[in-house]
Amino acid sequence: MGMAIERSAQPSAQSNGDFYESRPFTELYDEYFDRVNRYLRCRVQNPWDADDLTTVVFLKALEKFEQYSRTSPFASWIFRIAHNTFVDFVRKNRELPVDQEDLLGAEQDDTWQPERQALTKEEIRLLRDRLDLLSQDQKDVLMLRYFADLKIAQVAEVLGKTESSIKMISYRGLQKLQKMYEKGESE
Amino acid sequence: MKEEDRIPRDRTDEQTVTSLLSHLQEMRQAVPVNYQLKTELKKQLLQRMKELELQKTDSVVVKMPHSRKKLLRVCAAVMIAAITVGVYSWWEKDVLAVDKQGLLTLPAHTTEEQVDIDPTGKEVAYLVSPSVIRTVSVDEKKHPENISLPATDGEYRALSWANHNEQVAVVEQSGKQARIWIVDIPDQNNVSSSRLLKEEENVTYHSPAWSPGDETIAYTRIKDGVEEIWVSSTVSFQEWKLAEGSQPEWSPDGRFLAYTKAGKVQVMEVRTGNISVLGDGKWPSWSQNAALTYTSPEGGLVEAQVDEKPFASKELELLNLFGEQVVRGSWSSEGNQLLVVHRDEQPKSLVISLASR
Repeated sequence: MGMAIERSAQPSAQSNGDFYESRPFTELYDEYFDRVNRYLRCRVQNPWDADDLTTVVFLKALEKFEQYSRTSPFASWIFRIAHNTFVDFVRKNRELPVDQEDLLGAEQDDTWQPERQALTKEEIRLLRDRLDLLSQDQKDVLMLRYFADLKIAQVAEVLGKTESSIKMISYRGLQKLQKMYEKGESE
Repeated sequence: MKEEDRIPRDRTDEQTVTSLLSHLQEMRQAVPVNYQLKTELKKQLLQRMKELELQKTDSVVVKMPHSRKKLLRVCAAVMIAAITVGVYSWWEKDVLAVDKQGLLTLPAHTTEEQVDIDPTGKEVAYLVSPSVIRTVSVDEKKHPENISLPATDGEYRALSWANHNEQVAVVEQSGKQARIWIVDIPDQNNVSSSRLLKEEENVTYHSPAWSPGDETIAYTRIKDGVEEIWVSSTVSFQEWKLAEGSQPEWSPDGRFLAYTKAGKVQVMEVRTGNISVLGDGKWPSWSQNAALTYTSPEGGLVEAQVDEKPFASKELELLNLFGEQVVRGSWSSEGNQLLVVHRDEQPKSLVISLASR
């Protein structure tokens, strides 16, 4: 089954088959900023809040970088920070579901990447609304899996669950989403 | 249960899911990234990295002193323990701790009899030229107060605080005239006033001392070089000679009068007139009914128990006042504070400190 989305190669050193992340923080930052920023922009309503959270995530990561073991993927580590930062933010702000209008920017913003896709706002809004109907676990898993672009094992590590549990949650979430689409298409 | 069983899928499902995933991926790609933030945050992170690097370097630099500090702390702890043991053993030998060292530093021309402590040990009064008494609070809770004395052509030489009344006795020497004044200390309800107790020509008065009930004042009267102790009533005009000598001091119960004569401290039992000589010294002062402190010729403090025969005497240690020669030690009436007077050479001055047990 082709559930996995093609990911960029992880340029980490491997020795004796064991994972080892040898790159310095700045290189990892360059690689992971986009994914973290994008993930948070998907999760919080206001893009400025998402940018603030991104800043917080990387500052925290830098302060704690010595605690990063390097024997597990950096993605799991940085997204654990990002997810916890997001959860804290939601707790403090009682965050409302993200509005795609805000997500994509109601006004033209020069800071946005020209990689903006040609998806219509309506399509995104639809998907967004449907994602919001999922359970918190399903939402977390799908967001980390498909918006943060993490592997099952990494999502499991971030959320502190087993891989099989993540697979189950992911599957059920996708199934629910699929039904929504089917139902939506028939309507 | 196998995963395939728990996550059943068929071809239709797979196609739908594939298109869904493709949709999700497209959506992910549609979410913009703030590249301006990326650049700015990188600068911020690089700056922070430098700071952390510096902190690391500093912590390495201070590591050695830290270990030294630890060693010093251990040494200090050992020293404190040793000092505590020492202090404890000294305490057993009778030690006074000077807890207000250098409470007052007065001009060198000030004499030890121009300063006195109040009965409770909370205030000190001293004479300020030309005719002012200044009172200072020991705990510095009250501002110093000035009490004006009757104007004089001469000088005020001695001062003594009453035991119960808010009064001080002061001795004035103006030319050939010697006077003893009783001065009311002003408070919220009363203003200061002075009353002449005694006036005499061709004599000098010194060292007034209130009796325990404040009904009489003993003082040194010097005429033609002869030192005598006289007593004047504060309620009538009676007066009488009590002994030959100087620096009289009543015991708290009024049973004894201590004084000095020919460089020796003596104690007279007032009822019987029996006189006992304690030893070389000056400025006797009672801490308790039968416990008398005086200054030895060497500048130390000696305490004697006068109700024991032979008299038991021992030197009092004054902590924090090492090497200083005490000129006078004067107990407050309640015996809780000792006013300690010594002279400093650099600069020349009279230094007032307070000690307690």
